[in-house]
Amino acid sequence: MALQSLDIARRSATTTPAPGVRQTTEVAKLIDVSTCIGCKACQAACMEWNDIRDEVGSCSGVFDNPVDLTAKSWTVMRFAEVEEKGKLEWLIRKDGCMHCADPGCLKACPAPGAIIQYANGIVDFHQENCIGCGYCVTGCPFNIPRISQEDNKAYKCTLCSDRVAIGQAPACAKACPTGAIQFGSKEQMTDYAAKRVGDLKSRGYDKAGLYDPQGVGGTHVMYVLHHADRPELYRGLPGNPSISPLVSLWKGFAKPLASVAMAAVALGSLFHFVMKGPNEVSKELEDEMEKEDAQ
Amino acid sequence: MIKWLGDKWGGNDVPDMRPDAAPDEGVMPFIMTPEGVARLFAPALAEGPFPEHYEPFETPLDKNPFHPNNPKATSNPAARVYKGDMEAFGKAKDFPYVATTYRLVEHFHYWTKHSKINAVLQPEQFVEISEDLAKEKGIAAGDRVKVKSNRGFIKAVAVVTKRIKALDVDGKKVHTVGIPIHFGFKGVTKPGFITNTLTPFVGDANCQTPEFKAFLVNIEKI
Repeated sequence: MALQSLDIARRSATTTPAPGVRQTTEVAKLIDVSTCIGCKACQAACMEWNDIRDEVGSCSGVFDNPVDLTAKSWTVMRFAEVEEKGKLEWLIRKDGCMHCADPGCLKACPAPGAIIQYANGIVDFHQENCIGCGYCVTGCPFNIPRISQEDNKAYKCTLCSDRVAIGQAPACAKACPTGAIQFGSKEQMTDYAAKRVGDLKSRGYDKAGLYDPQGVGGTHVMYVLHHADRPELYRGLPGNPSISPLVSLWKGFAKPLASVAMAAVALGSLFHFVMKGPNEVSKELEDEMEKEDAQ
Repeated sequence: MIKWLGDKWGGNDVPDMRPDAAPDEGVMPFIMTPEGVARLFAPALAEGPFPEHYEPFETPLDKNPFHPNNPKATSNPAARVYKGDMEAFGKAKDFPYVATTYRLVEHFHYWTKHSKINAVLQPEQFVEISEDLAKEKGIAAGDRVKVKSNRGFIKAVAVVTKRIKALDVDGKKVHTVGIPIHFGFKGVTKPGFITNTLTPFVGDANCQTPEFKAFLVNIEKI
């Protein structure tokens, strides 16, 4: 919300070109799953900074709480107990908006200016423009946005765009006690990830790697995974995420077709008016009806 | 390990005393003992000079595997236990599972159950059991269970986890029930039971620390 209009790269349902005079560094958050201890400090920091408090839930038989993302929980830790070669691994993934370079939510959004992509890569929701249609939920390949029951608007992680705008790291990165959440330029984060991946490989995790899926043009929230070959181990992280075909159907096919249909209706009415004139009740018919009324 | 190099001590280790104290100065090497030299045993411990394994007072075994023929050495003979508390110990035939209490990262003692953010992060009391034990007792993750010791009971939600495994102790399969503390009848969190209803009152022989990390319980689905 706090970035300026100069920093806007893309705006939902808008055809005017974005401002282009200012160069902005592309940012990224790197979540190193291999050094996460699952303390949920990031969740607490997110609640604190954004001033949102979810309901006090209940225990459903797992460590996770809140159990899922909500309009008031923009990040949650997802715990997975996986047995690999007879060794137990507790894989803990911080889930939240991935800030895709090619955001499905923004593409699907029909409300002008409700979803913004900043030049630094952050994808932000502007709730004052949101119409609550939920198309962003369909458009998101990671199942992130949530519609609030209170105001019927969509909410998700902002990557603390207000903090980033004044040169601060997101609240979760600031709070992380093990340095598992790093924040910087996308380039820096990719370099740092390469170091971490090298370290993991030297410790026997041959398939360690960086999760920066190209199906959505890369993301501005990336993961270092010990098992990059099987992201689904991390509580269903999609292996090859892409924007739902429903979105391309809506934007690529149905929308222009609907525009053509609407134009055809308008044009047809005009032709009707020109050739036949306006619809009018004839004098004789009117007189007849009046006579009937008088009886 | 270390040797005098003419002006200072060198070698594979570092000396405890001043590193340039020459041997003829008479500085003793172990500065933390009054006599200045190393000890082979610890004279100050109540249960004797050498380390020893004792079973907890509530043990799933009927004897100390290290001293199978000495019933007096089953549990620490120097521990402080009052008569009434001794009588409240349970037996393995009635309470076949080992329980241990611990803390969670989301909470601090019994304070943070009064804080909204901590309550959102871990809202309700639970106990952790292995997949094995869950299967044996017909408990599924999310079921409500009753955990009983000879001193009382708690009710909580069951978390079934791979992180707790059955132990093989002296040829016997021993299951563990993990019981986080933090919850109680007041707070922003869901009302819970006081974990120390279950625990035994045993004072460690030296520091009087209570034996809350190992005792016996039974568990059943409600």
